[in-house]
Amino acid sequence: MTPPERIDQVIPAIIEHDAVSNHTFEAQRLLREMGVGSEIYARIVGPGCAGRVRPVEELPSTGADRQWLIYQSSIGSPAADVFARHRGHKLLDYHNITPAELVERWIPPLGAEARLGRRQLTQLAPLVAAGFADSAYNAAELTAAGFARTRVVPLLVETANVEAPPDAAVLARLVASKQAGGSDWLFVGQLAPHKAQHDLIKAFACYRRAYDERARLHLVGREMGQTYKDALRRYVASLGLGAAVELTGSVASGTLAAYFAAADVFVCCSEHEGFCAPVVEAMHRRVPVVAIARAALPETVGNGGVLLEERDPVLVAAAVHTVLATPGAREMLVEAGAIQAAKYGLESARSAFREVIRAELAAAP
Amino acid sequence: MRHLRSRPAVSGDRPSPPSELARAATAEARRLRADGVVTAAFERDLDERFELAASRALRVPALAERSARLRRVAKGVVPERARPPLRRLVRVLDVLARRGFELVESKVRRT
Repeated sequence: MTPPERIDQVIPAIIEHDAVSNHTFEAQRLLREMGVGSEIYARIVGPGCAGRVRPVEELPSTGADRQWLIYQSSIGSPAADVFARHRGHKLLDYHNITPAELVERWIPPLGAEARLGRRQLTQLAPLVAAGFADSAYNAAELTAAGFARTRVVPLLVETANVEAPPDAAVLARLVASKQAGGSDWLFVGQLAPHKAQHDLIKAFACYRRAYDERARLHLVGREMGQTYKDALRRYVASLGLGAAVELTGSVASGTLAAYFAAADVFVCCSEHEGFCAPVVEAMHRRVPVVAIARAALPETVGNGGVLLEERDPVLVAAAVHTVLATPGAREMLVEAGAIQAAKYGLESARSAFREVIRAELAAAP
Repeated sequence: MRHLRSRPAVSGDRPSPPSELARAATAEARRLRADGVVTAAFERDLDERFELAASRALRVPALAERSARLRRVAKGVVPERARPPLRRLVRVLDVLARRGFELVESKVRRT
C-alpha cells in the first residue's frame, strides 16, 4: 500500500519528566525521520509541553489510507473515545494501567480512571490493527484484553535525560553528607501507592536498625496525589527518620543524575510496574539494583540485579546489606546491570520501533 | 517467622550471581530474625505506624469534603447576613478539617 502521509499519536496526558511522555516525543521524532508527518494530540498538556503538543479536540481526520494513529495507553481517558471514533488506521502502544485496587483508597478518581482504562482497552481491541507493549508482561495483558496481534517494543528513553551530567551543587551536597558515613539508598518514581514507598521506608528502617543507623534514603519523584505523600511524611516523622529520608519532589535531569551518582544502591519495592524505566537508568548509571519481583520487574531487571520473591522489609534490608558488604558483590552487580541495561539502549529501542512500524506498513491492506 | 525463599533457579542452569546474592540475603534475613536483631514487635510497630499515618492522611480530605458539605448546608438553611455565628462556625470547621480533627456532623447541624 502507499505509505500514509501522517502517523499521529493520541495520548491522555503528556507531562515533563515522565517515561511515557518521553517515549511519545521520541516516537514522534522517529516517525518524522521515517518521512511521515507526525503530531501529538493530548487531552491534558502539562507545563513545559505546550507548543509541542496539540489538544486532542484538534485531531484532524484525513482518511484511513492517509492518516494512521497510535494511541499511547496508560490510563482511562476521553481521548480513547476520540481515538476509537477516528477513521484512521489504528495502532496502540500499551504501557500498562495500574490496577485500580492499588490506588483507589488513596486517590478515588484515579481508581475510577484506571477501571475506565481497562474497559477502554477491551473496547479498543477489535478496532486496532496491532498492539505494541514495552514488556512481555504488558503484551500478555493486551492479549488477555482481546488484542489479536501484539509486539514487544522497548520504551524509548530520551538520551538527553539519561546522559545529563550531574548538577554540581546537588552532587556536592550529597557527597558532603557521605562524609559522616552511612550508605545512600535511592528510588526514583512517582510517590504513588502502587510504587509502595511505604514498604521501602519499612525496609530502610529495618536496615538502619540492623546495620547502619547513618544510612539515608532518597525518594525522587513528584507525588501522585497529596494524600499518599502526606501519609509518607507522617510515617517518616513517626519513625523519627525525618533527617534520614528525603522526599525531593520532581527534579530536573541534572539533579536526577546527581542522585544516581551519589547512590550506593537503587531499591525498588513497587507492587506494580509495567516496565520501570528508572531501574534501567540505575543499571545504565552503574548503580546496583535490589528489587521485589513483582509485575514486569523480573523481566526488566533480569539478571542485572537482585530480585526478591517475598515482599518482606527484613529481606530487602538484608539484600541491601549483602550487596554492599559482600566483597566484589557491588562490582559484579554493576557489570551485570550494565549488560542488562544495554538491552534497553535507545538505539536498539529505536531500531525495534522502526522495524515494527515498517512491518505494520507492509502488512496493512 | 515467615517463610523466605529466593528466586528459584531454572533446572539445569547455573545460578547467576545476582540470584546467589538473593539466596544469601534470604539466609541473612533469617539470621536477623533468629538473633532478635529485628523482632516481631519491631515489625508490627512499623506496620501499625504506617496504618496510623495512612488513616490520618486519608482523614484530611474526608474532613475537607465534610466541611464543604456542611458549608453548603449552612448556607442553604440560613442567609449569611442573618446568622454570623454560623458563618464563624463554618470557618472554624474549615480550620479544624485542615488540621485533621474529627468532627461530628449531627452536632453541628443541631447548632
